[in-house]
Amino acid sequence: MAMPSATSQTRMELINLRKKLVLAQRGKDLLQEKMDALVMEFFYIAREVTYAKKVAFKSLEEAHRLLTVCLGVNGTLETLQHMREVKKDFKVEISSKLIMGVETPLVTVHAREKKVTERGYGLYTSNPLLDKVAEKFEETLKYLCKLAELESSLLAIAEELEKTKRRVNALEHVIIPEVKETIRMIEMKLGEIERDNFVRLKRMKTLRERR
Amino acid sequence: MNEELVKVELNRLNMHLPRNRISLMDALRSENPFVITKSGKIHSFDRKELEELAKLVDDKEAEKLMLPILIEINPSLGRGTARISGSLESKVISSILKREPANELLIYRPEIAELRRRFPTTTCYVFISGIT
Amino acid sequence: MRQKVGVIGDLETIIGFGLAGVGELYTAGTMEENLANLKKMMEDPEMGIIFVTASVAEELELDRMKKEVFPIVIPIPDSRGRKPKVDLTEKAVTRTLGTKVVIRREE
Repeated sequence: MAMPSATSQTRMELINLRKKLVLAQRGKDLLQEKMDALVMEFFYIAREVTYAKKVAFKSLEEAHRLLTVCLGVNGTLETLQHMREVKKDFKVEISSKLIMGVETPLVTVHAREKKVTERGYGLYTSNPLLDKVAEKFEETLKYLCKLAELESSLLAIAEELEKTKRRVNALEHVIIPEVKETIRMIEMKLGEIERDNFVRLKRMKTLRERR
Repeated sequence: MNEELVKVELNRLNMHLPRNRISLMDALRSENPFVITKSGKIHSFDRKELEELAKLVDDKEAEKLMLPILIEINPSLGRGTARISGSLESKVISSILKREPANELLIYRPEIAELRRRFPTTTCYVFISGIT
Repeated sequence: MRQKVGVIGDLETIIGFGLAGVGELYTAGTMEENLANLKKMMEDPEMGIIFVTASVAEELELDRMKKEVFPIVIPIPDSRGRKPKVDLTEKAVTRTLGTKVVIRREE
């Protein structure tokens, strides 16, 4: 087979480049849709986090108020001593869930074992005020764990969103313009080659006619 | 060139899709209903969502309705538009969105948002590129 | 299995969380101590969630710390109600939108 001419080689390059352009444009469109979907999820969770944070921090504030009273009544040292005697069995169960393919934490809080003293009252200590404080902090802890799940999920989505944004930007502002520019240059080059060929053929024709 | 990267990204887009789907009936019967995604992760279904869906179909339909329900994103539909294919799926989604039933449904951004908000584990995006 | 919950905070916070049954309790101390305790908890494979009070969170620059998803670290107000200066959620929202926005959920 004869050596492929400069023109046909260039033409092949052009065809390939046009395919690459279509691929890149499709890619950008799809990633943009993925971004839209992620943004939707992001804002939904953001609203949930804001609410959960409000609830949790309010509960914490109330718990601290109760604790301040307790510290005043029982003294810091005694309260601290009681706290040391409380069974440290608060546990959570951490698993994960998928949101649009992004792995996000799922937090489950388990109920604690409550011991009842001989007197029939006293869930964690033998002091009813302390028990009240313990219960309030336990309730707060539940809200805080929910907040932990929501905020960490939000941050995981945010990271995926950033990644996707960067890729859309790379495609839109770097790759696609580069490919388009290369196509333009090759089309120009092709035009030049064709003009050269045309001039050459014309000259040959003229020479032949002179003979 | 960057062509490889783009192809890799397009493949990654749908890695969250399940390898196999399960019917609503099977999901309801299972204590811990889930599917495995293409990337090998476990995608669990929320029981409350399953029960919500069960209210919208009869038993026979529950055997046929495959989960998760796919929300098709195809750029040729225009940005912010998605398609629901399948007459049973369309029927269920039109009930949820309070729209006229049809064999195929085009849904728009606010509807997509509502769908994803109310059924986050039983619906799933599928990104269609037309490029293999 | 990540099951543990930990806290770094002022004395009242420690007492409160301790009464609620939290096992890993660290009173806030010098920055070096706090950092060491945080690192220790973060390297514990059984640690699920760590709560850190506002001033400690700020001095350790938690909002800028590069970390894995687990264990989850959450800044919380201290016993005086002082909130962390940088709210991670607000920061993420601002970054996503490009401007500061207040997010509200109808109750």
